[in-house]
Amino acid sequence: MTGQGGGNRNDDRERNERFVRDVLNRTSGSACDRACEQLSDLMDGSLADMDRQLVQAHLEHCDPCRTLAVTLGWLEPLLPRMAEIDPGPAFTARVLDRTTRRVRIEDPATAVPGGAAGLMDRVGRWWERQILRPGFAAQMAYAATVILVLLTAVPGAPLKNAPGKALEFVQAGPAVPQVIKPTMDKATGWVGGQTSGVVTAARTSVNERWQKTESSLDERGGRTATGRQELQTHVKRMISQAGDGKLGEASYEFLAALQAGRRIWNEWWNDNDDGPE
Amino acid sequence: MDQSELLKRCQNGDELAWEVLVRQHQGRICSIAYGYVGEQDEAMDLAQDIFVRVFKSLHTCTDPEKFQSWLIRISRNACIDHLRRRKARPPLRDIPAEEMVALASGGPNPEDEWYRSSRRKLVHRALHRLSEINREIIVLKDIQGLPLEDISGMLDLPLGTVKSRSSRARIELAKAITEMDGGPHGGPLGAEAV
Repeated sequence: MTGQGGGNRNDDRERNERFVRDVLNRTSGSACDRACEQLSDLMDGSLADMDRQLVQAHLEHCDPCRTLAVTLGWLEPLLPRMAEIDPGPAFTARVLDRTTRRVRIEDPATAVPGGAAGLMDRVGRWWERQILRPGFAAQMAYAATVILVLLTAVPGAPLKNAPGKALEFVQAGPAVPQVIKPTMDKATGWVGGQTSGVVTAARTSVNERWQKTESSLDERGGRTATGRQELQTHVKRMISQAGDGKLGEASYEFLAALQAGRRIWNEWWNDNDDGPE
Repeated sequence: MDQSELLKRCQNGDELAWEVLVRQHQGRICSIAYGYVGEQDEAMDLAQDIFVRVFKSLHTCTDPEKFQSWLIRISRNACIDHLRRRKARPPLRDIPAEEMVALASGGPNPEDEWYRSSRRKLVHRALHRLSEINREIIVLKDIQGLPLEDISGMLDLPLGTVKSRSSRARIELAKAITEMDGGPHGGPLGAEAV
């Protein structure tokens, strides 16, 4: 009897639902779209009281909209919890490998040694950090431009004549004959005459200039050999003493190295008027 | 930890500070990448690329207060670039229909150990049924919690449009999930919620 009563109530409800749907279809159309528009605000709690009651009344009778509301209900707290995901420890290591090269585990094999080797190691690491620093390339380009301008463009610059001389050298070019009279071989149709002479002359000119430059370099290398050896000795001593913490001696060696450098510079440019002064 | 000092140290090339910064933000960056591309391995590779991009651009972040917003903006740009490049080349494979069914039913997938929640996976799959703009709004507003003003600036849309789209995007997402989860009567995940 009870089961039959329950069945009747369900039948009544279905009949009523069908009736309402039919009426809506023949009048305003389905209210689901309007309900969907307001579901988000219903979840936020920003819906006016009357609107809230209307949407809730719709949800009581509409399965698809109710399912949607339930989904929105669990999405609401879930979405902010998805702001972070754990990519695992290997991820961090891979990112660090791609962005820095520092040795992260300090064991005896990788520990920084003392003395001159330690100093060189520290200098090397410092330099490595600098070149990986953002903006390093731009700063270096700027510094190089300033140095180039100081060396070549300001009054009294040591290499003031260098750009002019380089330009003259380039402009002079190979000793090309002034007049070229091409002739044509009637049998083959090839153009001959003095064109082969031009190539030979150019090659000879370049070779002569190169030999001159090479012999000049050899001569200057010989002249400055003693000075370079001295410079090397002072630099080695300076690094060694700085590594041992003897800063006074290291600075003395630094000054001696500077003097040796100056001597090399003078000896290098001593042969003719190409010098820097 | 003072975020402003941390950022400054990173900008000066302090590797320890950079490591901390990576650890602090990797979860967020991975989540954004996953939200945009929807493929786990691809998202992890992309997240690495994002960090490389962040590292190279650190000097352009002048306001530490806005670091988070700056970071998300860089991530978003990298994701958009990645998606453009991906569109330009043919897909490696189609996603088989069975994969969708297995996903909706919450079936086990050994490749997804790091991302255990079936419901989260379902949301991510559903995200990729949305239009690009709606997906972006869900990722930036509902997942990352960015203020509407920031999103409006990033997407170059009026604030009102972002607001209205935000509501619609959430409804679209819920609809996509409902469809994937077995229609209006709800699949296993919907039933679990009820």
